[in-house]
Amino acid sequence: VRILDALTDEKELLLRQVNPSFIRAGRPSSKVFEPKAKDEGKLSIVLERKRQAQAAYEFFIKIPKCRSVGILAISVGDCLSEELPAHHAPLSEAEDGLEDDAHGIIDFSQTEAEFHEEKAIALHRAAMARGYVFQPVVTKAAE
Amino acid sequence: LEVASISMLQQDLEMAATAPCPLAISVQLADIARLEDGWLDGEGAAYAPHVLARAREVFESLLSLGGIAMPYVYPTPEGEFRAEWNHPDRDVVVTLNAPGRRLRLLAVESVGNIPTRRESFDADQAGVKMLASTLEALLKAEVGP
Repeated sequence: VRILDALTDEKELLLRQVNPSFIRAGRPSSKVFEPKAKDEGKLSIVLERKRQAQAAYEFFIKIPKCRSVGILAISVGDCLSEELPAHHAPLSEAEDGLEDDAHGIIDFSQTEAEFHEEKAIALHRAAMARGYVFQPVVTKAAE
Repeated sequence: LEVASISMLQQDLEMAATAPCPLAISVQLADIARLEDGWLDGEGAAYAPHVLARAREVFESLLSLGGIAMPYVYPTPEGEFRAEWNHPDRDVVVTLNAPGRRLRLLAVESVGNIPTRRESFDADQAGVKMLASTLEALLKAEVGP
């Protein structure tokens, strides 16, 4: 992954896919915004100005093993409030196995691991206040 | 078939962001029991039955002490169980570790300059009782502890 300059437009939206296992009774977990151990403190996001929410969802679910029930969003300003820089970080087929110019990261790596959970909770709160920016149309059996 | 509108789903999210979980612990853990290896975009292992049984024992013991709203319980890629509670002033999370022996409390205030609260408890009878008492205060209080 090629990490470019930090994003500075505080209104810029960053999109995050919600895995179905992180939904319980309609509520997403704050774990959605916490990098996994193997992520080395780099949480993947999509830059909304490069790929809008519905297209981001459709792009993501075509990747093998990847599932999503919708997209939550946070702003660059939300990240900076938590002292988390966000970067444009395009992926290339040669280095990353996937070509994706809309890819970015929120960089938790400058924060000690014990504080990652707390920072993720703050991002989750901001995203919940904003609501889903995209959900696929859901069908359910009529009563 | 009925098509649910995005606005309806948005209302559901608002409700889920403020209300206790409507699902019993047994139902929530049954959802986690259905996870297969690779449940998180190819990562995350399936949960073993004895680990799920231990989690049910701990969470039912915690909730049986009364005064604590039903949490939303999620899996984690580390094999833990993560219980989250809604509160207008703070986010409260309790994580039961993979062997089911320790409970980690995190309470993050959303207003004011009240420091984050981090505590750890044994997942035995005495520890669960102490955690229940702490949680009851955190989930009822209108301002910081």
